[in-house]
Amino acid sequence: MGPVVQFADASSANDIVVLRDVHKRFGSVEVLKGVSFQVRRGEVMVLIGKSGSGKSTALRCIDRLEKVDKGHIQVCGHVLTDPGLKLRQLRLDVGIVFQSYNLFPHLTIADNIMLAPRSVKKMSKAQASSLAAQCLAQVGLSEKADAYPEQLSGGQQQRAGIARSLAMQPKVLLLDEVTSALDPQLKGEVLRVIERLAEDGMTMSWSRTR
Amino acid sequence: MPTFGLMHLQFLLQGALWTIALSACAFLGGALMGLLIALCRVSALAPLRGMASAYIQIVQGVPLLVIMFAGYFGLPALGVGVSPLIAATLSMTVWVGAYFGEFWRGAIQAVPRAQWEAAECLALTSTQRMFKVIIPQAIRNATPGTVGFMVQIVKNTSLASAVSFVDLTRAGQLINNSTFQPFITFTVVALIYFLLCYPLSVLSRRLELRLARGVRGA
Repeated sequence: MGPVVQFADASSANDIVVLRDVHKRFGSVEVLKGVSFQVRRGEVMVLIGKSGSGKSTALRCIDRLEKVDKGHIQVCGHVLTDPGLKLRQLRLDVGIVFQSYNLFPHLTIADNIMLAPRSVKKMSKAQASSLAAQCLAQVGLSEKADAYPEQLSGGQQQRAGIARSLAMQPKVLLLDEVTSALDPQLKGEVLRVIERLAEDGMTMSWSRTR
Repeated sequence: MPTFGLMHLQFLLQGALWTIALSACAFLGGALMGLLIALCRVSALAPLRGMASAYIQIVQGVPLLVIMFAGYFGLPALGVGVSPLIAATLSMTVWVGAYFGEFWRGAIQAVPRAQWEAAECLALTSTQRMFKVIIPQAIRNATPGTVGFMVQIVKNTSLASAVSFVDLTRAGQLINNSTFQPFITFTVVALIYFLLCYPLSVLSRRLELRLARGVRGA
């Protein structure tokens, strides 16, 4: 699994994500065996490992899609092991993009992107619309705003997924094997988007097989 | 003894109108009930899940005719006087609600887990997730089967004839008692039922094909 980093002071204000001695098991299989790392503001941390090494599990634990058995996780100031944790507040700060895109098939790409800002942040249709246009431009999909997910290629759907997460303006973006399901040609377009986001200073944690 | 003629056909068609009315009421009432039951079945609260499950098991284990009798004879015994239409509608609502509830629960659970997660990770509340992401997709899955079940509703309204509701079947019985020509009477009744049900079957099949066509790729 990824690098095990020793850090001198526990909570630096610059650390967006901190994992310390995290253990997670599924049934009899221990997937995370005392994992520790931190991601600083503006950093892109890549988790590389073979299948089954726990990279996706680590990311899912960061967004509290899984609960850790032991250890400490702190994300954007939220302590994940705290029983009083406000999950929705956490999800406002953390964006996650999935390997299988998980776009909402009954909505257009633009509506996919606008859904959360309108429902959660109570944005007006006009505001959300211009936000969606910005996000689509950022991932190079401006012309696909009114298309449905099934009409897009894999690479386009993945970029749409990234745009959807960006619309909520997260402090950290988790990318779970976002290029693994794509052929080399489509991988490239997603990589370019990730590079641009990194240049713009987005804090990211990215898991990949190679 | 009059022979079966235009006057009798007219009477049958009036009965058919009542069959349509009862079917529509049963569908609407059953749909509301079914939605409630389905949401309870997928609720996070165990008591709700348990009650909805018990409701479905009980209703699916009792003949609709018995439910009809319970409504038509039982309610007045409890002091609630109801017309045959209301009693029949209530009974059918209970019955349809159980089947729709079970069917729609399946449609909701058939929406991939990943959709729930994606919605959750966008900070949507559980109500927003259910109504803006999951239910729209469940509706697409459930529509062909739901329309198909309408055929069952139309046919089962015939049981209301046992509680003095003058639907198509009862009208047929009344005419038969007057003309003593059961073969022609009930053949016409069957034909009218077929004409009501067949378009629903065709619609259901068309929706099924259109939905299958619309889903391309993952």
